[in-house]
Amino acid sequence: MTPPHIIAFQLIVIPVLGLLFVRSLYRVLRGYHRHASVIAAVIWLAGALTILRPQITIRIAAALGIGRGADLILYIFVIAFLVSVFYFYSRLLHLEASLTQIVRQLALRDAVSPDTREPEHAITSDRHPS
Amino acid sequence: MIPAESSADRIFVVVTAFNESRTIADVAQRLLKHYPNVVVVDDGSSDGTSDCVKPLHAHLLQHRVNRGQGAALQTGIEYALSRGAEVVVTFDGDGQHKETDIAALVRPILRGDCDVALGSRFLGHAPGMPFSRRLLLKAATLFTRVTSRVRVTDVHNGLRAFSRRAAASLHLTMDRMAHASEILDQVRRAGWRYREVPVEICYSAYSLAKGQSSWNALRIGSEILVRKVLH
Repeated sequence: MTPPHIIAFQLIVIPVLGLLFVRSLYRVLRGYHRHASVIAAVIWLAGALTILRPQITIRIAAALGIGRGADLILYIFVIAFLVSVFYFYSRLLHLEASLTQIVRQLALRDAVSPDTREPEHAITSDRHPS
Repeated sequence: MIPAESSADRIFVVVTAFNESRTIADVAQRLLKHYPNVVVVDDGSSDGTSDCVKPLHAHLLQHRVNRGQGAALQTGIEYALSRGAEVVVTFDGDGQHKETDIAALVRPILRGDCDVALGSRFLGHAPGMPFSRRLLLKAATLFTRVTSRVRVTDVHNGLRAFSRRAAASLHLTMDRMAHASEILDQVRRAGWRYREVPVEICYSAYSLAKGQSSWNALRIGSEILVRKVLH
């Protein structure tokens, strides 16, 4: 097998991904944000592997019946992006509702009714009970 | 049915206002001449709207931050109900509505003929309505007929009246402008008897400048559709 030749892109990106992977691993072992860190670690590892050995994506793509490795990456990203968008929009809606709840409670708690306060210069209405 | 003598006291007029310091005092005073219980909900204004109301004999609620007219209405309605309202009227704070139109909205509810009365400018008068606004509202009417399946002539009129039980059943979650469609939707789903009443809308240069842009309408329409999908 011919030795893989190293390109500049790999030289720059691999160490960065390596560091990110180590950091995620550290978080998983220490218990900080465990779920997110596991996913992150997997992503950094997968990223580093596919950049080091692009043939991996080609093989997986072929197995799935997709033309190129790059196409596989593209499809995965499009799906992941759309899922993220729906997820965050849903979270946003919940947050907005929660915010409104709090603002409403404050408004109701601090409501001022005409009989509990002395108006500085009361405008008397000319209605009479009939 | 509610006896006529006590009716004025039990009618709560909820006025929502966002940066309406120019008009709110006048609106509130005109309302107070006929209705003792006027509830002003200041939706996070930054122009001193609340200060204009404080000297008056009205109820005043303040949202610390702006949440939209739908949210302000819901807050005002909940407050009115907690104070024993038998009829809740919604009214805009920008001076577009006429307080003399309220009686016609409240009458059928007090008589027990319906639970919800909706003001319609197309049944009434709307002098000076820009053509683009008319077109926009017609499109909105069609949209509402399809999505909410409610047949009304004016789908975006802030002048409405609700019986106590109809008001209590409202749970407005769409804070911003889409609340108008949400109200119609909930009224239809709950099966409340509703009718339209002719009212007059006063278009002034001031209120027109604050009105809905067509772009906004597009955004509101898509928001409604997305919400229906997500639920």
